[in-house]
Amino acid sequence: MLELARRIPELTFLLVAIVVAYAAMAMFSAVESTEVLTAGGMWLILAASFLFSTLIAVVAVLGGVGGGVLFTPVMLGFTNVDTLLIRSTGLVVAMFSGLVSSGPFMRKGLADVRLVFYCAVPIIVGAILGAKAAIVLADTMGATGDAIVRLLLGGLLIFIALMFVLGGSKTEYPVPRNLDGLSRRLGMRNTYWEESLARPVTYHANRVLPGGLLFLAVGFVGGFFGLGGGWAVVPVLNLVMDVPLKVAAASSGVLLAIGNAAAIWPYITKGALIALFAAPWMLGQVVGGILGAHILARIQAGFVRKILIVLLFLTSIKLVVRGAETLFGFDVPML
Amino acid sequence: MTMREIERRLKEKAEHVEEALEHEIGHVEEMLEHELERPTVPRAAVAYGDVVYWGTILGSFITILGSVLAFVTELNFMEPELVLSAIWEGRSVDEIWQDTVGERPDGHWYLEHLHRGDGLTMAGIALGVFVVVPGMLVSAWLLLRQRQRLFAGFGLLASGITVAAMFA
Repeated sequence: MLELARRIPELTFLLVAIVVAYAAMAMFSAVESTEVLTAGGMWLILAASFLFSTLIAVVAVLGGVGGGVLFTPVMLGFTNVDTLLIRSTGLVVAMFSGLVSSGPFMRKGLADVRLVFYCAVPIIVGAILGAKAAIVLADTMGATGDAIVRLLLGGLLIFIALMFVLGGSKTEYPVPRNLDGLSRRLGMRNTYWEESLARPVTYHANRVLPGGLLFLAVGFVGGFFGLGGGWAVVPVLNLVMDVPLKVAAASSGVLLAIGNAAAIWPYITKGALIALFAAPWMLGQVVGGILGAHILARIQAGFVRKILIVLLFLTSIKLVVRGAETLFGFDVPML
Repeated sequence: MTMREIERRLKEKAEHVEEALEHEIGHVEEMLEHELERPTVPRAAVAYGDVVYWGTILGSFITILGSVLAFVTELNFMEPELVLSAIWEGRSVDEIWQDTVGERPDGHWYLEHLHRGDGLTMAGIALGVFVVVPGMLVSAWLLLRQRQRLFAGFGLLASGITVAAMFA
């Protein structure tokens, strides 16, 4: 830990600033209690949000997904917070760990800047359309819209969890057999240094057109549900476009940050992102993102992945039940 | 032990040392060879990563400052106790704005409230979100200088769409 503090002084400054800030907020609070919450309770919500967000960021980085995949379903399933607010904050959670990891990944040459820029265009367009659709749905359909979102998200989570369970077919260093014409013309060939092999690895991105179309869909789903799209970006890059797993994982974080940075503006300008509520979640992602990226090598990612799968299944059940309860007017007392 | 035996043993030891040295030299040569093969990271990638990383850290510090101001002073656009209670109660975004300010904003409301806690907090988050635009522009410019026109174009297009989303 001390070594980490010495290597990344900005993380230390950030942590000290956060601790001092929350201590000051507790001691010199000018916030008054209401009928709903005491002043201490409000502080506790913010501090707990920061800690929970840090934990989510570490687990998300170790599990190879964006934090939104955990934040949005858990909040939608287990709290009363408005769905639009959860989805906008979910985008903050999905993007900020990706933003801070962009620096180390780019400097190490693990994220491919040309690949990122090519994929960024469809993912941004999809994400903005998804965010706009979410705001329209919330404004026009109210509680029914919320129920539909919960139900659809529950189904999507089951699909994502199954994808993780059956995800053994990923290949670390895919070799493209038949490079298609467009991929050849774009010439997205790159070489990166593979530490575990102590040698450079060369790859050539393949099937760039279907890959681009898939990113349009991934962007829409991520922007609509406030999930980000980390669960889908790595498989598309690795399985469809023949990008090595490590480059796919690193590029995914950078790509998600770009896609979500575009998707979040409609939420910000329409007031659907509340600063005080989103701030601890953003800070937790920054701290957890840096921590997660640095402890990744020392922890068995397989174990974290198993926890992630169980969490996704449990949350999906809760979401489907809550959505169905509102939509069809029945009650499931056990859940 | 005869002189001949001593001579033989010394010779054997010298051979072992020689072998070990050769092995080590080979290993070092191999490492150096790989080091030389280590691909250089494009400046466009490093520049993008640095702009985004430091921009996010700066945005985080502004967000921290804003959060403290919002909690320890009464300088706020929306009263924190009302906002947090409304969120906790599950009120909609529309209701939260109506109860605190009167109407939902349309645009970059925080820019007019940078001297207030919640305005500054929102500005810090917005800065963290915005940094991808200068990151992509700097990177696209460097790609252009390396005659990677197509990918520079993708970077410019991506940053252009993001800027359009900010004002749509």
